[in-house]
Amino acid sequence: MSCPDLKQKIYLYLSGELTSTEKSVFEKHLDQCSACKNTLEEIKQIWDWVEHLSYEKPSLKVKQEILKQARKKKNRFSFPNRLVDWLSHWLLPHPRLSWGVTVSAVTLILVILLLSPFKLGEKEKTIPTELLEWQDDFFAQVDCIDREIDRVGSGELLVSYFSQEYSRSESEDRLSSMSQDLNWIRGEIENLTKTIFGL
Amino acid sequence: MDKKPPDAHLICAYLSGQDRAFEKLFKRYEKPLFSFILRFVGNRENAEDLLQQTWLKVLKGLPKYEERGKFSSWLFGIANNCCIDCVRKKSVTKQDNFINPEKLNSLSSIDSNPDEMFVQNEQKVWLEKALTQLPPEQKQVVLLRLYGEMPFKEIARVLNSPLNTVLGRMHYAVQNLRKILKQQYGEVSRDVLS
Repeated sequence: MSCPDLKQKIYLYLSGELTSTEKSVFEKHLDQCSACKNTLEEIKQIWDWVEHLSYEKPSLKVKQEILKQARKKKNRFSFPNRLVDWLSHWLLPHPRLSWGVTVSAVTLILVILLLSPFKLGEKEKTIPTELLEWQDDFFAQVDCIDREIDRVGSGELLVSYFSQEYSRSESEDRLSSMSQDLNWIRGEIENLTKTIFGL
Repeated sequence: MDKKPPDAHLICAYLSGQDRAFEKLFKRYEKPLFSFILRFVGNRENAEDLLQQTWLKVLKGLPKYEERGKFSSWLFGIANNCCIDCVRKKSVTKQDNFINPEKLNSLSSIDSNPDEMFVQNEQKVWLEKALTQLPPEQKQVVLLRLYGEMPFKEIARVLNSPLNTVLGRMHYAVQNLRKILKQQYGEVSRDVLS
C-alpha cells in the first residue's frame, strides 16, 4: 500500500469498514511509514473528540406535538382514507388521467355495491344466477382497471405529464412511488373480488 | 434481558394502530436525531422546527416505506435534507446560542498553559463551536457519522455521492476542525491530547 492509498483508507480504518485483509495491509504500512503513522495519530485525536460529543434533547412541548401528530396520522392509514389521499395527491393535478382511472374505479364500486347483497357474508360457494350475469361485466371492469394500472405503472402516461413540471429524476421518483400505490390498490381490488365471489 | 424490537416491527405495529410503538421509535432516535439537527443548524429554535418537519415527513412516508435499507438511514437522510434546505434558504444568525456563554467565558485565554486548557468539558465546548463553523457539505458527513452512526459507505448512499467524495469531505472537515481549534488554543500539544 502506498501513502496516498493509506490516506484514502484512514477513515474506513477508523470506522472499522476495512476487510480483515485490507486492515492487515493497512497496519503493515503503518509499521513501516512513520509519516503515515503521524497522520493517523493527528486525525485520530480529532476523531476521538468528535466521537464523544454530547447529545441534546428537544423540549417537551415539541416532543408532545410530534406524538400528537403521530396519533392523528394513524387514523389516516385505513384503506378508504389512503385511497382518498392517493386520489387527491396524484390524480387531481392531472385531469385527463383522473377521468380514466376514476370512471373505471367508480364503475367497479357500483358493480360491487349492486352485487354485495347477493354475496357478502354468505358461506356457500355457489354463485347465484343474477351474479353470474354480472360476473363477466365485473371481471371486464377489473381487467380494464388492471390494464390502466399497467399502462400508468409503465410510465407511458405519466412521463409526459410529469416532465412538463418536474425534472427527470423527480419524475422517475414520482413514477416509482405512484406505481407502488397502484399495486397496493390492485391488491385491495383483488381482496374485494375474493370477498364478493368467494374465490 | 429485554430485547429491543427492530425498527421495522415498531413501524408495523404503529401502522396497525398502536400509538405506543411510534412513541418507542421516537424515543429511540430522540437524542441522536435532535443532536444531529441542532449541531447542523446551530440554533435551538430552528432545530426544533426542523425536528417536527422531519418527523412529519417520516409519518407521511411510513405507509410506503419498504425495508430496503435501515430505517435510521432513511430518517437521518430526511433530516439531512431538511437541514440543507434550511441552511440554503436562510442565514442562521444565532449560531451558537445553545452553548452556555458562561462556559465560554470561563475558558482561559490563549496565553494560558495549553495543558490546563484541555480538560474534557472545555475541549467539548470548543469542538462543538468549531463544528458549527464547518461548511454544510463537510458538517453533514461528520454528523451523519457521529449521530447517525453510519458507516461511510452508508453515508455515501444516503447522500447519493461517491464514497471517495464522502471520505474527502470527512478529511477536509477534520483538517478544518484542527485548524479552528489551533486558532483557539494556539499550537496543540500532542502529549496533552494523548
